[in-house]
Amino acid sequence: MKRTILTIDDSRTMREMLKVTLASSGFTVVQAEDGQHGIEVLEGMEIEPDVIITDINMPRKDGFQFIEEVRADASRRAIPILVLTTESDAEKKQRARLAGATGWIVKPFDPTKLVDAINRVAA
Amino acid sequence: MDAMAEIRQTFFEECAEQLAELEAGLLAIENGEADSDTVNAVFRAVHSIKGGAGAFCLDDLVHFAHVFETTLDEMRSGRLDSSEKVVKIMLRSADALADLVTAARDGGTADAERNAGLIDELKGLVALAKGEEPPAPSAAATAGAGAADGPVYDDGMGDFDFTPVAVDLSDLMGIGGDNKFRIVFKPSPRMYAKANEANRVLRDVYALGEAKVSCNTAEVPLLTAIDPEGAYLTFTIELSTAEPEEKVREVFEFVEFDCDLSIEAIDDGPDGDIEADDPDIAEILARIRAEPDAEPAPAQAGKADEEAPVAAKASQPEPEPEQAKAAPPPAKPAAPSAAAAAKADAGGDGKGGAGAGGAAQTIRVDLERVDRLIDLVGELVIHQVMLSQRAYQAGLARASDVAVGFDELEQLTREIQDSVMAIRAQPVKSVFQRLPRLVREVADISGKQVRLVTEGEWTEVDKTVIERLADPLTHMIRNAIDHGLEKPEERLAGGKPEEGVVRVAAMHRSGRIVIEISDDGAGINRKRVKEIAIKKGLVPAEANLSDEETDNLIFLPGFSTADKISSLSGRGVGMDVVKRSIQALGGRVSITSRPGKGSTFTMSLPLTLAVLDGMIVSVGDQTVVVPLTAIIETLQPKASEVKSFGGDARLVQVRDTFMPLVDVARELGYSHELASATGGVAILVEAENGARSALLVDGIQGQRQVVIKSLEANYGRVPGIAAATILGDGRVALILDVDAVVATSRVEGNFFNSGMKHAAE
Repeated sequence: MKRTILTIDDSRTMREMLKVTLASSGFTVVQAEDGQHGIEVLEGMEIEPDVIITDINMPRKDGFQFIEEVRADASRRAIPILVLTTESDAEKKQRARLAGATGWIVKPFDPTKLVDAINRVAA
Repeated sequence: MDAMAEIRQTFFEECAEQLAELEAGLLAIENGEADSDTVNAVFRAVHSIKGGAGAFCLDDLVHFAHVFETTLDEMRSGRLDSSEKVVKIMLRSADALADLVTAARDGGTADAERNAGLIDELKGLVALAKGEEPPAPSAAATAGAGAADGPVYDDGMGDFDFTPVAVDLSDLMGIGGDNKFRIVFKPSPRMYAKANEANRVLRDVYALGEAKVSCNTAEVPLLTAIDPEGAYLTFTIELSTAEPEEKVREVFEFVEFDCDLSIEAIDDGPDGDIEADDPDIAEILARIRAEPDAEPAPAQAGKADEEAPVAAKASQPEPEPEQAKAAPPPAKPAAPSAAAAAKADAGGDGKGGAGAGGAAQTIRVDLERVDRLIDLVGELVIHQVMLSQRAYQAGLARASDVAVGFDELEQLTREIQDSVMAIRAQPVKSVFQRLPRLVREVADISGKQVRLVTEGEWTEVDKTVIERLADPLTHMIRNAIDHGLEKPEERLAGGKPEEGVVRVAAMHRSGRIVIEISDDGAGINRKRVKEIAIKKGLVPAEANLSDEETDNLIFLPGFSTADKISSLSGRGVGMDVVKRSIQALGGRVSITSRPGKGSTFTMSLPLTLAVLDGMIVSVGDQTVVVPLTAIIETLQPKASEVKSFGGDARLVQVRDTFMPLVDVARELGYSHELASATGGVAILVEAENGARSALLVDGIQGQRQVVIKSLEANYGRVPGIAAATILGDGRVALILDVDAVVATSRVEGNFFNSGMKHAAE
């Protein structure tokens, strides 16, 4: 069965890039444009995504808030959430961890490594 | 790599948007109108550009954006005040960033020296904000790391920060080494709540070397007392590896705050003891090694009671992936899935629907589709008019229900037309946004101090008009600063503030958009303008010109007031070109000036290029549309007002001036005879050089809005004809190119003595 990835990024470029990368690796890609939209899309999905990849710096609702909100729902603690962002300092990393992120990938990403990472956390 | 090319294009489109946002935000900050949202938006703009640029290996751009972003972050966190000096540096940095984006897109090079200088200034600001140490070297290092050569994607920069877990253990099992560690790892429920997995972490440890794991299950309570989301196991790992301790710690990086963890180096661990301590674990490990795909949990499932919870737990935090496996799911509760399904349902009727509606505030549509829609609506309007006209001709009573229906239909189609036109309308903001930068640059080069004031930036106008507005506007602003404003010292001497003001205002006025560019400079030097015009033979020396006429001399072709060709306004383009390009859009431009107080250029443009207000006139047996914008007035010439001279040339007297009378039917070749001036109507029009002419036509049918159909795109260019349209009754009518008709008639009349017409006769 095709696995579904929910990607959340406010940059169109990033969204398209993720879509191309992931779709060519056989994933179904569902997109959202910011944290708030991500929550809405997630609520609307019939089957929970296998992995969520989210940006941090976004308008309306940032990645931290998004992760916290997802994790606040006990049934969603099992969804691996990878944070994909250009931020790389320890403090941000710690905040993502505290919010409930499963892993962390720094932009720009290597497609192979991204797909590996997804395969592993979603395995 | 079509997909990549497309993404690249998207990236540059997005960059343009982000740059506009960046500049608007910085200007708001400069004016003290910024809240934290603005600062965040500014930060995000640079951040996004950096993110995308990294993916395309645009190293210069990444580097600069990174330093810029770091500085903005200081502002965002409140450590750096948004003082005037700081914002000025940031505005210049925004310009530099825009240049880098352009260079990246078009393959040019940016001003490396200036950028390096700005980077230093930005770093200086960060140092200032931190109140100490010199610029962080990490900033440069991080960005520089992206400089590795290689394919587009291979950046050598991005990576998984926590080492991911592999599935195939046999491949991953590392080789032992000299470093030996004892790791005690006790996951907390929090760890599972983040979708992290003890077994994945353990597999990561295996990958480092030879690991022996024991599991302490003493804390596992009785089944009835078990919290399914609890964590009861403690793992002790004896690891022998070639990797240093930091590598070992890295494995736990993402879980270290959600578990009790101790990692200690040991000299020479008594290996054998572990297996002796807990033979079951040794057996599990053996199985893991033998069957890479098998989970420890199922293997354990059939074991003693006290171990059953372990199996349950192992599966608990990870229900979905378990289903994908061939192994039967061990007593896995269906609850989470059911809950998820229920939630999805609820989302379907409630939040999901609302969410979808709330999120989609704008959509991006291909312009072609909108144009197609506009075309179709134009057809709809025509057919609606035709239909009702025919119905009335066939005897439909005006008071009948059907006639009422036609009226309603007409109103509805007009509304649809207006709404569709509104889709293409955009605020002039997109053009105005580019002006602050232009003003900064021109002010810098010309050594003048300039403050730009924009008004009415939300005034909407058709997209095609906006696109073609930028060039003339740019030129007029350059002109206003370069020629209009005085140097600071002159201003002071004249009792004005050092800083000159250039005001650009957009407004709607009687169905057109009017843009005023005014400066508080010296105004037009009329004496000089007249001298030049006389010297260049543009006006006779004895001409008696009003102030207004003198001011408008600057629009004459070949006129240039600058003594030396300035690098700014010069560029070989005079105001005549500006005027012509505005006229090509169906617009007009004029100037008013007060000596010592400044000048105001006013340009007025149609709101759209898709429709046109026209006067429908009869010319011979043809119907022609004359753009209303060109028309000043209409009159019926009396025989006494028409003077003939030299062949076919005629003049008509309008009040106290004479102007050429142009026989449109002859110019367009509809008729060879010279039409009788008294039998027709003279339409007074103003041509591009401001000269007035009278167009002689046979009669006026009416005035209406027509949809412009390009003749050039569908047929070919026809001199004297600007475009075509379809009238309400289905007839095709040509739209007159007033300037061309007037110009041709003059040339033929004056120089060739109507050679072509004689030949035709």
